[in-house]
Amino acid sequence: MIRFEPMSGGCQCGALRYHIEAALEGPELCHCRMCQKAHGAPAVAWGTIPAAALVWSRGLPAEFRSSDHAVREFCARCGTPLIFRPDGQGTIDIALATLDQPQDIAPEEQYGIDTRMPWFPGAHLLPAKPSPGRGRTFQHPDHDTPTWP
Amino acid sequence: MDRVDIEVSGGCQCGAVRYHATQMLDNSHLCHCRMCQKAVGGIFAALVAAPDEKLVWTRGEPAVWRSSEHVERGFCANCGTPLFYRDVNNGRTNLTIGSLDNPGDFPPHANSGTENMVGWFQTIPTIEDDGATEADREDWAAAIKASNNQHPDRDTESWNAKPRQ
Ligand SMILES: [Zn+2]
Ligand SMILES: [Zn+2]
Ligand SMILES: [Zn+2]
Ligand SMILES: [Zn+2]
Repeated sequence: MIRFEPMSGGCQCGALRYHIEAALEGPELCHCRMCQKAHGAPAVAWGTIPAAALVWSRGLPAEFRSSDHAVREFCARCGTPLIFRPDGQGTIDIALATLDQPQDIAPEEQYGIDTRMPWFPGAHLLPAKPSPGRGRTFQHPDHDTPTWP
Repeated sequence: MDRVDIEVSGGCQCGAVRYHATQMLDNSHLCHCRMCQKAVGGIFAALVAAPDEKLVWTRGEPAVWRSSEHVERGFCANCGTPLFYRDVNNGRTNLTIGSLDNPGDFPPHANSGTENMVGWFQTIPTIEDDGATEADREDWAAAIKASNNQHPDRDTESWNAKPRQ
C-alpha cells in the first residue's frame, strides 16, 4: 500500500482529468495478454483504489467491455487507456502512468509472468538515449488546469 | 536502419482495427518520454517501425490524434488500444509492440526518452513475481479467459468486434 495523498491525472490530450483521494493498493506490474493489448504495451503498472475515491474533474471516459467481468476505460479523443474496472468488486485499477506524478510509485509485485517478454527483466541494461527536442506539443501538462486547451 | 522482409500482423484489443506489414525496420526500442507514457498509459512505449509503404490496414482504420506538431498517435476508437506513433516527416509508422500478434518477435535494442524514465526502472528484476495469469486467482482468470472480447493473436477471416458501451 502506497501513502494516502490526493492525486490528479488524466489522458494525453487533456479531455479527461481525474482526481483521487485514496491510498493506492498494490501497486503491481501486469504482463497479462489482455493488459498488453489494451495498452499496446509489454506490461502495465497499476494501482488499486476504491471506485468511489475517483472523481472525473473533466470529461468522461469511453468504456470497452474487455470480458464479461470487466470494463476498460479510455479517452475517445486521444486513446489513452486509463482504468480497469472489474465488475462487482468496488475497486478500480488506475494506470499509474496517467497520474501527474507517477515517477516514484514502484510496483511491489509482477503478475502475468507467463506472458512476460523474455527481455523485460534486462531492459534497464539496454543503451540509453535521451529525447531529442520535440517542438510544440499538444499534451496536457502534469497538473490540473482551470480550462483547457 | 536495416530493413527486414517479414510478415507481421497485429491490431487492437477488440479486433475492429487490424494491420499487416511486409517489412520492418530494425529499430525496436523502448521510449520513456512523457508523451509516450501518456499515450499508452504505461511506464514506456515499446515501438518498432514499418515503412509506411509496407503497412496496410486490413480491417478498419485507426483514429488519429496529433500529439505534437509533427507526430500522430493512432488508436482504436472502439476499444482505445494505442497502435502507433508516427512522425509525419519520416515515412515510417512505429507500431506499439503490445499490439503485435507476436509481441516477442522484436526485442528492443535501446531505451530512449530516458530523461523521464520512472525512478524504479532499474529495480524491475527485483520486483517479486506473483506468478502466471492463472496462478493467483484461478477462477477469475478462467472466467476472463472464457468470456473475453479480445481478438485472437492471428488474422481472422471475419470478426464481430464488441461495440464499446
Ligand atoms: Zn484524451
Ligand atoms: Zn493484466
Ligand atoms: Zn479496438
Ligand atoms: Zn516517446
